[in-house]
Order: sequence, then C-alpha cells, then structure tokens
Amino acid sequence: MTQDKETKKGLARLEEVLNTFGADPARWPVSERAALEALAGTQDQARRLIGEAQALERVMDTAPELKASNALKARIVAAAANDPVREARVVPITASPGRSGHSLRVRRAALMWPAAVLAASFAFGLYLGVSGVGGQVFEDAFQVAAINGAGGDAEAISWLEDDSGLDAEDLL
Amino acid sequence: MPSHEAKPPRAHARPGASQNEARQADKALMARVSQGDAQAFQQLVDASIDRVLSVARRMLGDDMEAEDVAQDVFLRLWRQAEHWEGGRAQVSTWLYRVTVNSCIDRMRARREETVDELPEVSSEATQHLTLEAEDLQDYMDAALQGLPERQRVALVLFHYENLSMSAVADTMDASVEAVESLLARGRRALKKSLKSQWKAFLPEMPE
Repeated sequence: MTQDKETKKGLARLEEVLNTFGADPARWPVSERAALEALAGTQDQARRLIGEAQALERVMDTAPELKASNALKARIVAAAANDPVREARVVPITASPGRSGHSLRVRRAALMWPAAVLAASFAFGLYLGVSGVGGQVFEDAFQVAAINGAGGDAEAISWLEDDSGLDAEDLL
Repeated sequence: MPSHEAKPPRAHARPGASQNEARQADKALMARVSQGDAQAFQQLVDASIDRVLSVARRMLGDDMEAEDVAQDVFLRLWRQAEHWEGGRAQVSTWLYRVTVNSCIDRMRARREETVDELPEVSSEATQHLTLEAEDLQDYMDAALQGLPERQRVALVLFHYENLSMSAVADTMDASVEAVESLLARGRRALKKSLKSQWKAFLPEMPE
C-alpha cells in the first residue's frame, strides 16, 4: 500500500518535471534526476510519460528556425552606419578645433566605416536588385531613423536603465 | 530571403567561456563598438543575429517581421554601446531581453489592431486548431503562436534557445518559480493542441 502511494507520488512528480523541464533528463533538477530515472526503469507508466514527452518534443522541434541572409546583415550594418542618432551625438564635436579624445574617436570612426559600409551597400544593392523589395526596406530604414530621431538620448538611456519593459501583471 | 533550417540537436550544457570571461569579452567588444568600430559591430551582428532572428521568428511567426525586429535590436545595441556597463549583463542576455520585449510590443500592437475582430487567443483555444495546415511545421508554428505570450517566451528561451532556468528568469525579469509555471502550462497546452501530431511519434510500448 505504502509502495503504491510512493509510486503514485513519483509518477505525478515525473509528469510535472516532464511538463516543466522537458524529456531530456540532463535538464531535470539534479536532486531528483536519479530517482525519476529509476522510476522509469521499473514502471511502464513512467516510460509511457517519458515517451509522450519525447514525441511532443519531436513535433516541437519542427518549429521553423531562421538563418540570417547576407542581405539582412548588410542592411543592419548600413542602418547603423547611417544612424542619425549616433551621428547627432558625435558630429558636433568634430567641428571644434584641437585633438580631444572625442575628435580622435570621430576621426578613427570615420576611417573605419567607409570600407564596411561600401561592402554592406554593395551586398544590399545586389539584394535589392534581385529581390525587388527595395521600396519596403528603405521605407523601414527611414521609419526607424525617424522614430529614433524623435526619441533621442533620453529614450536610449531609459532602455539602458530599465530594458525589461514588462508589466508586473505579465509575470504569470 | 532568409532560409529555414531544422533545429540542430540541443547541447546539454552551454559551451564556451565562463560567465566572467564572457563579460570581459563583451566589454572589450562593446568598447570597440562605442568607438564606431565597424568591424566590431559586424562581428557582433555575425555572432548573434541567428539567435535574435530565431527567437523573433518563433515569437511572431513571420519571417519579415522577425527581420525587422533583428534590425531594430541591433540598432539599439549600436546606440547603447557608449553606455554599456560590462558588469551588469552579458550582451547575449541583453539581446534576448530586448528581442523578446520588441516582439511582445509588436504582438500587443497587433492585438490592439484586431481586438474588435478576433477573440483573444488562449491556451484552451489552441486545443482546436482549425487552420488548413500543410504539414507538421505549420501545425507547430500555429500552436506556438496560439500560446499566451509569456508562455511562448519561456518555451522559446528554455526549449529552443536551451537557456538555463535562471537565465530565462533573468531575461524575463521573473522568478524561477514563475518561469517553471509558465513552462509547465505552455507545454501542457501544446500537448493538448498537438495531440494528433505527437501521437504519431510515440515509441512502441510493450503490452
């Protein structure tokens, strides 16, 4: 009788662990792993639960995964190179005479970008030519620039300080 | 066009350097990015974009929107580089968090747009998928999109991104217990909504 109760309790816990952590025992809590695996060694019901969890994960693993195209990478690098927010933060300092740390930084940046931007633009141009989606892409790029131009530094800093952006009610 | 690929086998442990080493490497790379170093930025994009893109794709169920999220996230990173505090978080954690939040914003905007036309999707609703799915991947995609957003985030980060429970909790700004509850509810909902699909994969059991 006691044995049955224990087994029942173990099976209930196994089901809970499978729902939370999945079918891979390596991801189960270390403190419970051995006992749950032992249960699977003796109980058909435990093996059935694990089999179901494995089958579900085989289906879950068919969810599409994206790989970035070179065109997307080029689009991102180009957007950063032409970013009006970073530019606004840096450009005014170049107008001042002298060789402050900032102006050196700007000069260094100015030397670094052209090659990367040229390469990115070339790849981006090829992509636009082939795909014919240039209008939408340029529209997106300008939209991002316009939104961030309006937000300015205050927006950027608030992201740094609290980038969770989640409400307490969303926690569960 | 982006390419879809099957999910690679999951590693049991996160490979690579210790957290401290990773933070130091992040700090050095972000310092270069803050100087306007295009190569460093390109390096960051190359190293992280597939993760960002996959999370966004699984969250939103839309390739083009996922690409827009990726661009937005990296542009934010570019702007944040000057303010980066190496001790606070790894770049990867920051990227996951901003990606997830950006996706949630988009999902909420979508919901506001369609609230008059469609009932709110719940995990119960996913029990009866009515879409005309062509294959398993479509069913899975639809079931994932049918989950409440926080359950979806937890599953995407824990199952697909293979993050530890504490890393998921950190990214979601939630307790470990809350994440465990979200995962259990999410997986239960998927198990119900995809019953006829996963049953086909059941191993033979002795009578």
